[in-house]
Amino acid sequence: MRIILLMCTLAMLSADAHAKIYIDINKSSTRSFPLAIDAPVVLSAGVDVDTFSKTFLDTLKRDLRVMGVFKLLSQTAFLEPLSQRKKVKASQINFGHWKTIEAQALIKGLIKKTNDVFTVEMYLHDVPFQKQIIAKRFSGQADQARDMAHRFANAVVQALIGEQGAFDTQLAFVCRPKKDKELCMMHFNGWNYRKITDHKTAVLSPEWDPITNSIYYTAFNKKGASQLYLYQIDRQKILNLTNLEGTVIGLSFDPVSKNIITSISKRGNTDIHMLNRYGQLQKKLTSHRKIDVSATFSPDGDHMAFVSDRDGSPQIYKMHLSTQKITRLTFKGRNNASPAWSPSGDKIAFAGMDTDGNYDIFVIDTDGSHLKRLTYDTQNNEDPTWAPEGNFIAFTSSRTGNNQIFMMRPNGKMQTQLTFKPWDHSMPTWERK
Amino acid sequence: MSDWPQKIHHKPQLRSTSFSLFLGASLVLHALLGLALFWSKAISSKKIAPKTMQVVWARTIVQKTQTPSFKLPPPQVSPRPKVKAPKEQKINIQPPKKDEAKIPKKPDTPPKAVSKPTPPKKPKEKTQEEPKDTPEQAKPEETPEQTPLSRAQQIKDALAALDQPTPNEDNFPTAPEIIDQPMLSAQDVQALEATPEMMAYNEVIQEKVTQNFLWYQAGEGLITEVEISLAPDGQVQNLKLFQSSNNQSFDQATMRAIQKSSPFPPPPGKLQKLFLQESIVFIFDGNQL
Repeated sequence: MRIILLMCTLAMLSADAHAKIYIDINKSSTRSFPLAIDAPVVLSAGVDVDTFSKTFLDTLKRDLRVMGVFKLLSQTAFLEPLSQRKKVKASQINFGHWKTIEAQALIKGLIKKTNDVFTVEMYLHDVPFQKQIIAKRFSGQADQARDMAHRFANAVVQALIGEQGAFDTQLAFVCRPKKDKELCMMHFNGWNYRKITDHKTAVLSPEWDPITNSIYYTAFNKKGASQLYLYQIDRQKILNLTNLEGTVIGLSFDPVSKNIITSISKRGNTDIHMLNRYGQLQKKLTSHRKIDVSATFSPDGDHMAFVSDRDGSPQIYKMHLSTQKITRLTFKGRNNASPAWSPSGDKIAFAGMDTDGNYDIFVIDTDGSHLKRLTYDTQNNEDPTWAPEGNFIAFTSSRTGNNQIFMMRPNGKMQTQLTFKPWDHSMPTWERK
Repeated sequence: MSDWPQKIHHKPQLRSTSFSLFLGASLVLHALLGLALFWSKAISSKKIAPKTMQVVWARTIVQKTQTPSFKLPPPQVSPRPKVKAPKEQKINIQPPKKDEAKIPKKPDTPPKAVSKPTPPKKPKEKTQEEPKDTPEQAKPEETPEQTPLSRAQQIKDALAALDQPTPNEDNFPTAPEIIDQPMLSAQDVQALEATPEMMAYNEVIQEKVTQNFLWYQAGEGLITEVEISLAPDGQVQNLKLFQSSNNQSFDQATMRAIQKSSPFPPPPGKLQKLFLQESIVFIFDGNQL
């Protein structure tokens, strides 16, 4: 009986074995995603509605463009007659117009104003399948057009490429509009670029505090000593926390312990110290005659990664903060610097000096394995910082002549320039949630 | 002398009434037989063969083309569409806007993918121009003399078509040929899958799908399997999700890639039977993109 059953099973398996032809797809296209954004139809009259609509559309386009993934099709190429613009639902749309211009997805929407409340109804359609992917309705005041656009852009990105957008996040960085370095900020999509400080010295190492929505940074005073500052974003106030003896290099904030780690250079030796959130010295974490700098917390606050030349050349190390156990992570390259721990906790990005003497961005696992190069450039690419969801890495690059902030995927794809001012930018830090 | 009495004997027979009755009856019978023969000939001459009918009709058509008052006798031969055409034309020419708005919408609905940008817009903006755009509707009214000619031509075509097989008959030879063939055995399939033609064709398909696979970020566990059937002309049929990655966006991106890739180049002749019999499963691996 068992033999008969076995034979039947084998027969079924053999019959099924040749039932299908399998083709593996292990690569994706390098092409951008062709996306058509039709301007939302304004159903109410009034200048304020038109302004709202324009702000919404501009923000949406800016968000999606900065992703570096989407190819926004020109509105002049649209074939749909004006009489059909109000048809925003999949059942009403003649998708042939959009197939002809090679759109893979289509955004349409309606905007109306009722009793000072703006309502935005937005649709994302799949053109090849001629069906709706998502539909969102937002209501709010006139000054919420950008927020609505950010939220819809996030939904579009999630639906089409399966990622969280970071459109409602900001970046802080060091800018150099004149001879001095100051703290600047902007939204992820480049909107609202603004200079925060006016120290007229050198601002360094901005670091986000997600608890109080503030930014720590250091700046030299007139006597040349480092001072720790805190910029409170909501109150738009700058607090001078403390005067630190020696030169402070690099800051990292741990939301769990609410401590700051930084390198303090005293009498020719640089070691890593822990401060509390008010800038008061807590303890010394490393004591080595060589230089230890650029410390960064792991997301859980158990470890820190830092740079040390204790083995001859600057390399990335990892320390378990409880046991003080130190592990070397990088062994390739003659100069590796500015590590940044990913929000998911499994990767560390850093800048490594290439054989041509320029820095490029690399990423490794937290045990030092799986070294992967992310940038291939003849200019410097350094200062990596992760987006809150870990889906982007911002960094400084001099590829355009002066230092600008760029952004890329964690696999190095789709590198996009975020700042375009004619002066240098450096040390970006991404808003943390 | 003995012969004369015999003659004398005949004369009285001729004169007798019974003989004259017999003679009259036989004459009537012969006359009836002759009439019957003539009648039967006349009837048989009325049962004309179809081919003869055709010739007769053809003559009449040629003659009637010169006289517009001709009416087509056989309804089976006259083509239906042309008879209906003037009726449609009358509806279109009527000015009410409601009718005009409805008429152009009808052709839009059945073909889903066909792009016809103008029809919904034209009726509103250009109501008077539409009849001019349809020459089939406008011409019959302006030039009625042309209709018999065209009808005659159509009748000729219809008659000629009688000798040809119907369109359905034309379609039959291809389908049964494929279906009736025996299924490929597992060994045949394996042998075909190992051929250079199969490998080359798979590469073509793989390359096309890869080019249309728009995904930008690797992710652990992102494996989606999509199953299709391939028509002999390369069109994708029966597209369905065979195994989900539990990431809806990734699944949709894989489906979109295949939909966008259709049609593929038709499979080479040697492989057509294999692709008719076997479905294709694309395995999208998003772990190492």
